[in-house]
Amino acid sequence: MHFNRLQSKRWSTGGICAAIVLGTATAWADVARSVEAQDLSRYKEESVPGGTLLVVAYMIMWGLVGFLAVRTALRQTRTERDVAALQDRIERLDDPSSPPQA
Amino acid sequence: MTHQPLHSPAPLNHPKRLIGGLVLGTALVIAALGWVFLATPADENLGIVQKIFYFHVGTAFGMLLCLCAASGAALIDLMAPNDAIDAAGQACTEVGMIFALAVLTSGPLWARKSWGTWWTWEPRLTLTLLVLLISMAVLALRQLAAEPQTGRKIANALAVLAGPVAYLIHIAVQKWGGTHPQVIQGGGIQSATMRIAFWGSVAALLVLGFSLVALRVRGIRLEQKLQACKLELSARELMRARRS
Repeated sequence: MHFNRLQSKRWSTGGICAAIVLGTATAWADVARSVEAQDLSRYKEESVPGGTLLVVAYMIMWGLVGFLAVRTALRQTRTERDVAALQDRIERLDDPSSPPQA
Repeated sequence: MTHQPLHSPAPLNHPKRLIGGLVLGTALVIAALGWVFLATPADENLGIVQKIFYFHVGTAFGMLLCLCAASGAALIDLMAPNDAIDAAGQACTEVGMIFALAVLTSGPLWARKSWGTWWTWEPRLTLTLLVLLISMAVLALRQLAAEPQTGRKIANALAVLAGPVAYLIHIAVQKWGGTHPQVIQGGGIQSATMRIAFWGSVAALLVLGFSLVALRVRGIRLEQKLQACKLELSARELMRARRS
């Protein structure tokens, strides 16, 4: 008797759990389907301007390459000037007639 | 009387050669752009936005080559430190980073039209982002390290990683799939006009990239020479003060 009651309790608990899981899964699938349908309709109506994307892509790409080239050239000019100035100072130090520098 | 300098770095490339390389690269890019926009038809499905492809893939090739070269140079410099190799590795990392930025901005702009989204966390895109972050970290370590030699070692150890990751980017689609298309490995380009546009753009970008690396190597070697001159000046001033 006790065993039968326990058994039926287990069955009913299992049934309730299964119903909750099934219900949740069905509801979730329904929600997902409706969201998907909404998204699809949105994408169908959307018009993406390909020309604008192309122009932006090319501007960024060549802007980056141009930036690197110009920055490198400017830095090199400055460094070359600094190296020349330092070499000039070293040569003046070698000259015994030049006064000591601070 | 002239003294031998205490530090005498190897002679630098003549700027005229570098300017010649840059002019050639720019001329090739202009020719390739002309071919892409004037002679090549727009794609039937994607329309004009497909023309991003020609330079997107070219910059990706440049990025992979630069970062593999940077990785090799970093490994060599870790085993046997050499200023010239280090300069080449650093220049390759910088140009590779610029190309990676170009890939990661042109790609999403194209994806917006063809996939309907700017970004997905699929293997090839994620690995490309990772390689960009690695190259940024390498350059930041070099700039921010309090002790330049330690910074150089740590940055080189990190730069070695860029090579294997670049290889993984190349094989990512075959290995793990994802949404990224495989045009070259997966059948190639059918139209002859498009093929010329594609390989012309790749060649132009590689010449331009190589010229940029050479220009940057010269800049880094000049900076190394500047540091050597500063050291030499300090040493000579000290010797002179002791004598007097």
